Amino acid sequence: MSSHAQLQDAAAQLRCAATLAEKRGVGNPMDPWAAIAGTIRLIAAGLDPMATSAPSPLNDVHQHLAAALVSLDDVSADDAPSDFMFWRAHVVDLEANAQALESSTASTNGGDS
Amino acid sequence: MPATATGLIERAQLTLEALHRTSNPVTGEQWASFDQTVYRLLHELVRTRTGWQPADPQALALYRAYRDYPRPLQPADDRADFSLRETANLLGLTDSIIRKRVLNGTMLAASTDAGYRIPRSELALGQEPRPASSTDSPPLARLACELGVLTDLLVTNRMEPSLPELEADSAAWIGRETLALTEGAARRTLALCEPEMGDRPLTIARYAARARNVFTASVPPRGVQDPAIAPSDAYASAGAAELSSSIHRWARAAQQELRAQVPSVEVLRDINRQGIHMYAAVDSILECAALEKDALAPVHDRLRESAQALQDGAGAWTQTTTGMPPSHDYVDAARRLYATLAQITTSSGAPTDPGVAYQALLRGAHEVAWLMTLVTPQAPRLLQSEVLFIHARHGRSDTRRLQAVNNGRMTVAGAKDVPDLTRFGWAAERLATSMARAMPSATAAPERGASIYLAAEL
Repeated sequence: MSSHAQLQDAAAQLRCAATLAEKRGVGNPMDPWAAIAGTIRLIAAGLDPMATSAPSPLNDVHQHLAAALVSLDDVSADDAPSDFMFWRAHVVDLEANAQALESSTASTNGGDS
Repeated sequence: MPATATGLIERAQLTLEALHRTSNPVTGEQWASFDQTVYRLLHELVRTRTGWQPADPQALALYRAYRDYPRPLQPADDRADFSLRETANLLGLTDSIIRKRVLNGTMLAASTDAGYRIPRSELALGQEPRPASSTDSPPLARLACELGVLTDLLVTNRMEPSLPELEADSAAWIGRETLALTEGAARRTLALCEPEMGDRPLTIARYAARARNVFTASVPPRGVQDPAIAPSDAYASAGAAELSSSIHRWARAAQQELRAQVPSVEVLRDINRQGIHMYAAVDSILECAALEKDALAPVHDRLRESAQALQDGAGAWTQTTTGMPPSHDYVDAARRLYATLAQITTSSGAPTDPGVAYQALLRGAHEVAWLMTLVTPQAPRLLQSEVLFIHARHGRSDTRRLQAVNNGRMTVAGAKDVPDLTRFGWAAERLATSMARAMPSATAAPERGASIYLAAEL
C-alpha cells in the first residue's frame, strides 16, 4: 500500500473511532464521548481532509485508534509528509485521552452502582 | 491570573498608600504624566459607554467629569481638529473668545455643517507629557503607569468584538475610583512638590473631589464586565488559569483559521464542538455547586438546547469538505482546550477554584458566540465559490452524477446538496449568542470551593 493510502486508511480508522465514540455519547452532545469524537475527527481531517471512509470489522473505539496507529507506522519514512510526526503524535495522544475517558467512565459507573 | 480592571484599581490604591508614605519630592514631569493619564482614562470611559439613558445619573456624572476636566494638558486622542468648545477647554478660554478669534481671522478654522472645526496646529499645545514606564520607581509614576495600563485595557476590550461592551454602571465605578485616586494623589503631591508647581495639583484635587461626589454608590464590575488582560502562555499553569489561557489561545487560532480564503470544514465543525464542550464544562461546574435542583434545571435545559443547536450546526457539514486540512496551530490549540475542558467534564476532578473557572468559561461562551457569527456566512460563501465538495452518493440524486456515485467520487456541492447548512448555521449562531448573554455574568464564591450563586435570570 502506498503512503498516501496508509494515511487515508489511518484517517478512515479514526473516523470509525469517532462514530463509535459518538454512539457511546448516546445522542447527548454534552457527553464526554461526544467531545472526544469531535477531536478525533479533527485529527482525521489533518491526515486526510477528503473524508474517505472504509468498512471495518472492528467495533471498539480503542481498537480503531490502535489500528490507525498501525497504519501510520507502516508509512515509509521516505514518502511521509513533512508534518507526519505532528499528526502521529496527536493520534498517540488521542489514544491516551480515550483510555483516560474510559477509566473515568468506568469509575463513574462503578460509583453509581 | 490575568490582570483585571478591578485588580488594577486595587493595585493603584496600594501605590497611593506608598505615595503617602514617601517623602521624596514629586517632579513636574511626574505630575504631568499622571495628570494626562487620568484625562485619557476618563476620555476612554466616556467613549466605551453603552446602554446609557439620557437620564442616567451615573452616565451624566461620568460625562461631566470628562467634560469639566480643568484645561487638559493635551487632547486625549490624536484628532486633527476640534470643536469650538473643545478648543476653549484645551486653551483655558471661553467659547466666545475662541469664536471671536475665528471671526476676526486670528484663529484658523474650517466652517462645517457641524460648526467650526479648528485644526490641531492652531492650539499651539506644549510638549506631550512622557508616559510613565513600568520601570519607573517613584510612586506617582507607578500610579500613572497603572492607570495607563487600565486605559489600554479598556481600549483593547473595546476593540475586541467578542467581548461585551462596558456597561454604564461598570464605567461609572471605574470613573469614581479613578477620581478618588486622583484626589488622593493630587493632595499628596501638594505636600511633596515645589511651591511654584502647586497650582495644578491644587486645581485637580478640587476638581476630583467635586466630580467624584456626584457619582452615586455602585458595586465593582464583575465577570465579563470586569475587563481583563488576555492571558498569555506565561500564565499557563494548572486549573482555572490554564483554562483561561487555553480558551484564549483556541479562539485566536480559530479566528486565524476563519480568515483563510478556503478554511477547513473540520475546523468550522470543531468550533461548534468546542462550544458544546464549554457548555458541558459550565454544566459540570454548576452541578458541583451546592445549588438547589430547581434552580439548576432551567440552566441545564438551556445549555442543552444551545448544545443541540451547535451540534446540528456541526452535523449540517457532514460529508462535505473543502479539501483543506486544519492548521497545526488550530489543532494544537483545540487539543489543548479539549484536554483542559475534559478535566472538568469527566469525573477526574472539579476545578479547585470553580468561580474563576466559571468566569473563564463565560468569556469562552462569548468567544464562541462571536466565532459563530464568522462561521455562519462561510456556508453561502463556500457554496457560491464552488469550493465545497460532497461525496456524490450523499448529495442530491442527479443522473449526471451517476458516474461519480458509482466511482465513489466527490462533486461540487450545491445548496440543494446541503439544504440544512444555512438554516442550522443561523440557529446555532442565534442560540450561541443568546446563551452567552443569558449566562449569569456575576457569580460569587464566598469561600474557596464554595457554591456558585446564579445572579441572573436564565
